[in-house]
Amino acid sequence: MSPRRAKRTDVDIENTRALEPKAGGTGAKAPPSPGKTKAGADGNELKAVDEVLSHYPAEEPSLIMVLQEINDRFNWLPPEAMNRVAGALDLPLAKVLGVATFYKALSLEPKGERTVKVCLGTACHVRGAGMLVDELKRSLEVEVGRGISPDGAYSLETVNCVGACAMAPVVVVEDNYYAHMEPGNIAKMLKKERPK
Amino acid sequence: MSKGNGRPFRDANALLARADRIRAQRAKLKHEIRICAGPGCLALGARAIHEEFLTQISEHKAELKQAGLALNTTLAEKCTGCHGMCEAGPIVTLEPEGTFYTGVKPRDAKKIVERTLLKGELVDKRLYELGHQRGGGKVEKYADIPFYSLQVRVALRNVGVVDPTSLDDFLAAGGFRGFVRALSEMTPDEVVTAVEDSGLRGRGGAGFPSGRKWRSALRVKEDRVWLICNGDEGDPGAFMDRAIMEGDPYSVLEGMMIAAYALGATDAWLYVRHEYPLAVKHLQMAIDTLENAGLLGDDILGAGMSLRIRISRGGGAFVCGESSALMRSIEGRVGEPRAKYVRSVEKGLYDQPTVLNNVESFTCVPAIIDRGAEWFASMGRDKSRGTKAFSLVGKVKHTGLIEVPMGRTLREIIYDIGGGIIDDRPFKAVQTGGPSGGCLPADKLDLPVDFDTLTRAGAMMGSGGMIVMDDHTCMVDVAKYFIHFLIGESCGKCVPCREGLRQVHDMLEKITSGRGEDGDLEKIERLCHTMEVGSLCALGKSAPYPVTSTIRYFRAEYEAHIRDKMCPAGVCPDLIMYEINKECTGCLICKDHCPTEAISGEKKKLHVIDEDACISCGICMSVCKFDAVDIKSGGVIVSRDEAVV
Ligand SMILES: Cc1cc2nc3c(=O)[nH]c(=O)nc-3n(C[C@H](O)[C@H](O)[C@H](O)COP(=O)(O)O)c2cc1C
Ligand code: FES
Repeated sequence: MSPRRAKRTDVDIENTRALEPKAGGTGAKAPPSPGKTKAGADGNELKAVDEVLSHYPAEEPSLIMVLQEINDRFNWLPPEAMNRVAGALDLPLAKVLGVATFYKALSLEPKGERTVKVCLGTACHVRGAGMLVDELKRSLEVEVGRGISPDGAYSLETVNCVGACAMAPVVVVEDNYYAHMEPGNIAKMLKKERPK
Repeated sequence: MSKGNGRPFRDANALLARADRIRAQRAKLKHEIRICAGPGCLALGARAIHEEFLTQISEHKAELKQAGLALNTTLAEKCTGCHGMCEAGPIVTLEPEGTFYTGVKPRDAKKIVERTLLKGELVDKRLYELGHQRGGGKVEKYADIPFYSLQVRVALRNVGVVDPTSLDDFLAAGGFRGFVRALSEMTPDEVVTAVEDSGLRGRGGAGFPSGRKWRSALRVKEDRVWLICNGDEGDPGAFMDRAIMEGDPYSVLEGMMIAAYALGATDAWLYVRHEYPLAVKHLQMAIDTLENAGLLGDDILGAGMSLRIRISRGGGAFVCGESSALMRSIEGRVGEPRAKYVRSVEKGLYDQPTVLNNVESFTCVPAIIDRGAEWFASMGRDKSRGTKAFSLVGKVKHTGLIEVPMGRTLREIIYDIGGGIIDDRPFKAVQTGGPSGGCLPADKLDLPVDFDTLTRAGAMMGSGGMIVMDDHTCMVDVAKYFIHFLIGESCGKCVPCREGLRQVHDMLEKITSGRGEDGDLEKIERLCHTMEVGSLCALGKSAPYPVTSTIRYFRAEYEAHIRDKMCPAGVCPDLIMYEINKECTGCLICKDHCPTEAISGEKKKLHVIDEDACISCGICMSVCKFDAVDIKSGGVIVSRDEAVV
């Protein structure tokens, strides 16, 4: 695999080379069913893709914005959607994949119902955010940017400065900000956020 | 919610007349409630506070009226951008008196309306506590707090002051005076000369003189020149550009409009980092409003100028902040930089002449045109003129957004404005310039902060992240953090950067995990040198700085990791152990929380951690209420003050 693919993960450097898309989960267990996002795009979803495409001129400069909007809708980029985009913009699929793997805002993996985002901005890092990532990886049994927790509820991501450095280290779950987090509070936070 | 007047302004006079009218209206305001809705305060619930104020104002409508306060004539409320002192958020200020309420909760809205607005009393509990500064006590007005009084705000002039969604608000604050002046009183050449004379240097990192960039674009004889505003803000510890785009979008646009006038550009892009949806929203609202107001589009203010500004949302790649990669990204392609021998003022976006500047740089321009190049140049030091915004974060007391004239010392910024180190711990280092910058130690605290001094000291001005570190920050870990960040961000096009970063990271990992050997530092230094000279773009060229600057100033700490297998700051997980001390009351909490059942002990008896089972997750320390867990490294307790080297 080309080293460029290695861009997709942030924290787990050891594993960056093994980045085949997985069905979800961390491998060992049966893949849990992802939350509100489906593992593939059916007819309806392709319609949604067409609708997104209709907002933009069918030319290369639209590519990133189209993929971003599809990503916003599905929480990831289903393979069928990328095929559709390649066809509509008259680009080779490799080009679409190239852009999709390059930019962090675009995900080639389905996500859990909620995404836990740990701020790994510098301010959060020096106040101990790295320990939070370790603890979340352990307790959710996922990797950063990869996998869904066994209950199907959570995926884990890291982000850079969310502008709330005064509250560092910060964890964001959907729109909720958790300030001054410590490894010891993670379990409580996950319990509170778990979708009913 | 734009409060524009709906009809396009015919000419500059109509615009100025409107500004005067609004200012006259505003003069009647007895109170204006400003709720900070910057990223920090929003995270703490500023929206709910705003709603509660609206509810309270309508519930107290009759009493307020009796007191001569009627909404929208003598009383106003609004949400603003970041007020600056994020540490004290959520912040509510009352103008014109300047009353400063901190840590406000939704239920305080009632008290502020009933007591402050209706009775003229202060809500003591929400006033700012000075702490040890200026003899302590509570302060009523923010202007009396050193954090604010020591700042000079140019780029941030309207952030925290105006409602970012209101053109009228912007006009009342003096918005578009610079643009009107340029358009009606100055030739394009004179505008460029003013920017040259002001000494403005790019605020995005490299500090290239903006006037010179513009001048060379004027010399390029091509019909079309593109204008780009760089709002990618890649530094992972900074949020100045974000605060400006969210809190004062009109100033960014005004700066671009002046540049477009000077350079004859008719098409402009604003490249905004994708993680900043609110910035995109406010900028787009502002663009739409300006188009309707006849300030963007064709025949602007009847002066024959045309300009279209579009927003491109970045894809979330640090390297896309680099100018040539950013242009590829706008073109819809993978954001790979190209070698610098092709100059983008000649061949940039779509291989056409392009001028690209940073958000803060553009934001300074209207102030320069409005108040004069001499005024801007009168601030600062040596070849660094004007002011610079910083996000002052990390282990500093007053975390927040600040702006000071160039040339203030690090000490003034960190101690006088920032209030010193949290818990009054020892200062260890300050990191400036983000992943391309470096760490400066305590003996550099008296250095003036300007482009050239910082570079000489091995750090960098960068875009303005300033991260303060205390003795519990491990410098090897910080270096590893930045290298790790850059591995994820390197585009992979050139070998020195792509492979160099990996190798440096592996070696730092080796050191922080206790496998370091003599000679490792020299190897790292050699590799860093290769990256510096051999990488294609500035990402790789400057990537080694966090490493080389920490080796330069904190070599002993590296050596402690290598020789003594010790992390003096108590950070590197493989080199530390947790240990329970005599303060333990035997409460069982840590035992219950330990994920690996490494803790044994009975109720009311001293607990013990099994070193072999412990994974150094730190949970025991974070749940202990009795300060009974210590961090040990190299056989020494390092988590307590007295033991720190
Ligand atoms: C790897 C890399 C990342 C950069 N990121 C940013 C950024 O996020 N924002 C920015 O304004 N400039 C960034 N720059 C600097 C830009 O390339 C460019 O110099 C700057 O935006 C020019 O504007 P200025 O002259 O107004 O500073 C970056 C440079 C490099 C090499
Ligand atoms: S670094 Fe985490 S919020 Fe700024």
